[in-house]
Amino acid sequence: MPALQAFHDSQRPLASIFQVKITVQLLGQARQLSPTERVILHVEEGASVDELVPHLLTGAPDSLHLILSERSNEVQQLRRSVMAIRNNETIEPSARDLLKDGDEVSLLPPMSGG
Amino acid sequence: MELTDRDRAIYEWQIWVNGLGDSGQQKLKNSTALITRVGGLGGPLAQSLAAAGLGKLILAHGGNTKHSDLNRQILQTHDQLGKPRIESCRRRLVELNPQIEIETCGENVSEENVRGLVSGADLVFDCAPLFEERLLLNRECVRQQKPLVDAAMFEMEGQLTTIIPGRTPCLACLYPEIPPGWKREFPVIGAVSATMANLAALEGLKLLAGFGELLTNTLLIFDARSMDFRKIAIQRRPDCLVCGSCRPPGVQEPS
Repeated sequence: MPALQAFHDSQRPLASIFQVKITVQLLGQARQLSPTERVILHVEEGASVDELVPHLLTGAPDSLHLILSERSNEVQQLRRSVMAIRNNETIEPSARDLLKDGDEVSLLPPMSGG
Repeated sequence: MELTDRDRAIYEWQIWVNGLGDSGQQKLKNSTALITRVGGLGGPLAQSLAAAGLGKLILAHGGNTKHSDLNRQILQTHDQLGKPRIESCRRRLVELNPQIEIETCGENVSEENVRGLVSGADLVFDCAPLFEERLLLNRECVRQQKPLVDAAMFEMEGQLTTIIPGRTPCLACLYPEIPPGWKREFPVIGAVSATMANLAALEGLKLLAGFGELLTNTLLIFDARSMDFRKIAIQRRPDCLVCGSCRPPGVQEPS
């Protein structure tokens, strides 16, 4: 059996172990709370926006966590009132396999200044 | 009401705008808009609507004028410091356009007054600094099927969309809950709030006069640092608790 497992392992698509570069642009109140407007992340190919969030917020101040993230079933994800935008369209934060290598995703928290 | 010779003289160059014309100008003269609040966004917005010949404005804003208002709330003046803001709004707008009718409410929008305020308007402009007020106004506009132009800003950025209940996302589609951590005091230059205000005024004028394209199903975002404008496609949420059961205007319920 070990030989058979090794065979199946050798057939695993190479794409599943690729990393892709995603640039996250922070807008609005998130931009003010972050030391930098753009953050470059290297994540597993196929990662959803939700899956970017823990990487994005590593070392970030609590105030940025509050604006951008929430917990669902103990898993950190994009706060649902924050808009995730790619190519000037909103994208579903939980959807996988949308983001491609080199993509830029903008995160727009709600704004109410009048 | 028809246009008078005086109207045609004052709005001559505006009537020349392709698509606006006499008929559009007359529609503006016979239109009423609600603006709440009338501060950094609402003030220049009201000014532009008055200058364009809108027939009536309903203005709602509580509180007294403060020093920190004066860099952007252009309907306020130094001699109004410590006095009700809404008085200065009326005075300044009537100076600009003596023909305009102004109805004022010296309170911010609330559960108690929102129904009456919205019912008197053909179009509502949302320029409030708090999500509670914005979502309340949105709920009432959906209930009364009134179009709503939602303009907002933060520091050097702004956003704008036009909400037609039943046809476009409402504000609750975008913000199903009051977001935590909103900071209502932030760095602001009057020119940025006035930019968003005038973009909102243009949306309202196009909607009321019936020309041009509206920011329906679209969120316009503006970055004054880079001077970038982006139009973002937005969608209704079928499960929206406020507008989810709302039919587009003119669509009959299935029998």
